Amino acid sequence: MKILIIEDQKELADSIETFISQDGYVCDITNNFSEAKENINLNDYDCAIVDIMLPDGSGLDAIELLKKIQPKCGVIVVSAKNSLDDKITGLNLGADDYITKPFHLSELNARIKSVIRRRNFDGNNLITINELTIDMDTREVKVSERTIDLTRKEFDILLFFISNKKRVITKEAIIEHIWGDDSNTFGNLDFVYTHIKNLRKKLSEAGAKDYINSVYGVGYKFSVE
Amino acid sequence: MKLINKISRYYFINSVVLFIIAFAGIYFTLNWIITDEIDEQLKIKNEEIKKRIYRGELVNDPPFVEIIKFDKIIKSTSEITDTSIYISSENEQEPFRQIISFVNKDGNYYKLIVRTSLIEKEDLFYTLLIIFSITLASLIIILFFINRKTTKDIFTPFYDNLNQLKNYSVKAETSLQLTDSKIDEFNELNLALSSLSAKAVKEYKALKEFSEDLSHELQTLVAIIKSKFELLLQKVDLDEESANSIQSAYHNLNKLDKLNRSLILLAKLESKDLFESESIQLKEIINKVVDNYRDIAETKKLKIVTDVNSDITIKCNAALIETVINNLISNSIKHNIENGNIDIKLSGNTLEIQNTGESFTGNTEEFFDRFSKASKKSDSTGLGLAIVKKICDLYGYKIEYLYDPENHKIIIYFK
Repeated sequence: MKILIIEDQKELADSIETFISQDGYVCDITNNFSEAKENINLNDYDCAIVDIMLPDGSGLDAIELLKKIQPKCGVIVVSAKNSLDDKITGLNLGADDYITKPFHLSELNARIKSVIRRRNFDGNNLITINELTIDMDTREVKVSERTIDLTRKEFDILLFFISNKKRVITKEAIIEHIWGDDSNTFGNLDFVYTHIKNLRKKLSEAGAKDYINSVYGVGYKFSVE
Repeated sequence: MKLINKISRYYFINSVVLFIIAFAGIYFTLNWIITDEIDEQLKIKNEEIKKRIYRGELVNDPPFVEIIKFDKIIKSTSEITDTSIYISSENEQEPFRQIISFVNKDGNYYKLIVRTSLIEKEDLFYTLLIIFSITLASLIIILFFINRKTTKDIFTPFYDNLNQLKNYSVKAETSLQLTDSKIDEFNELNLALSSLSAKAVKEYKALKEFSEDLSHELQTLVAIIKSKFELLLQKVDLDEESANSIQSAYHNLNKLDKLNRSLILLAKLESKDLFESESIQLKEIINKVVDNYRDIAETKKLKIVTDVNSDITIKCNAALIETVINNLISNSIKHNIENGNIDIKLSGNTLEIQNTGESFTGNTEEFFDRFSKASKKSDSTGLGLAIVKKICDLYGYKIEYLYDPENHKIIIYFK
């Protein structure tokens, strides 16, 4: 899988690359519009992460070009402005998703996975990890052919873990992913723990390995060999 | 009191005082002149009658001339006095001026009284009073019309401008466009106000741009720092102490991020036009938000009762109204007590959110102000309610906060 990162903040682009390349993604980083044009003309990408504000142009133009030359490439718009205009224009140009800076790397990673999954959909939309099978269409989870009954939030948490497997995900990132941007202000974040506890219980009762580990007080990690 | 009325009142009071003084002055002067004249005439007439007495003509013509026989002369000089005499034809007492003197004609003594009527003098008083009253009345009428005209000519543009000023906001981003006046002072005032507003707009814009730029710069920096912390957390050999330090820094960075986003939103909430409006069914949003937070409320053992039957639809921005509902409901969870209640009621165009909670010690007037936090323990930015208030203001919804020792209640009246 090849990812194009168009982001003028080099340090942020490096962070994104480090975080997502763990899954074997190959990243090209460009810090401005002209380089981005070159890259789009030269290479094929599965997904592009495009910052709207570039020193020598608008990321929106890059999206237009990308959609013309590589219609199969997924596009995620990144904007520092929490501006609806950018979002609407970006999505109208054919972008698949929109994320506002600053974001959690785990959130961006989950979005990339989701975009690629949707783009490469070829009949069956299944994710398989050892004994776990997740059907994205029916939102059904099976452990060795045995269906387990998860609530909507438990399913979303599991999917978020799987998208970020082998990485530490902070509680904040989970909360924002499941409950929305505004939900991080509850002083007590124990409600995440309740959901994860239930999820682990359901998985292990069905005979799955306990993949979800707590990492000190920071967050959780879905460990899989 | 209006300026024009104040001035008119001064004019009126001063005119009345002046009229009274003038009236008194003229009356007494004329009175004195007339009295003097009457006295003069009385004396002449007196002398004439005396001469006729000397000639042996005793003319008695009461009440104007009376000649009374006397034994002796009481006074050698004549005396002039005022008196009143009953006139039978008029059937009333009339005022007279009289001169009394004594005459000695060949050893016969007479008391001579010559009188003249003062009715003319009384007439003078009434004539003067009528003239002055008519003049004063005309003056008042003229003053009234002058007032009306001045108000129309001078004060109409003034009040127009005043209205403009009252509704003026630097957020409009245009300076004041005031109506010209015929009065130099008003024109100068207009000029000063216009330049003041232009300056205010310029500085407001500069400040706004500065804070927007600052916020965006901060966002970029926060984005980088946040990503670096997330990478640090991925280190395999991370020990607990380092993890906790990173966690703490990361947690506070998230708060900073949240604060910054709220400030950006607050700054943007100046104009409706920046947000696309659509028709929204309120109960759908409320149910969605409540469903999203139900599990969070359950960990606090809160009981949420919703009674949302109204089918009201409002025209506004979906994200903004969701922010309003979201902030209010998350507040009602955050500031609640263990085993507390939350009642959400939507009926007609009124939304009521009532929750149990610790007592509110602040000023209810400042309830919706920025950073007026009820408790320091939560991770709230202190901007949530300020945002709610501003969104409500933006769309003209009235919002109220009611409070008794156990319950907090927020009511929004949607239009």
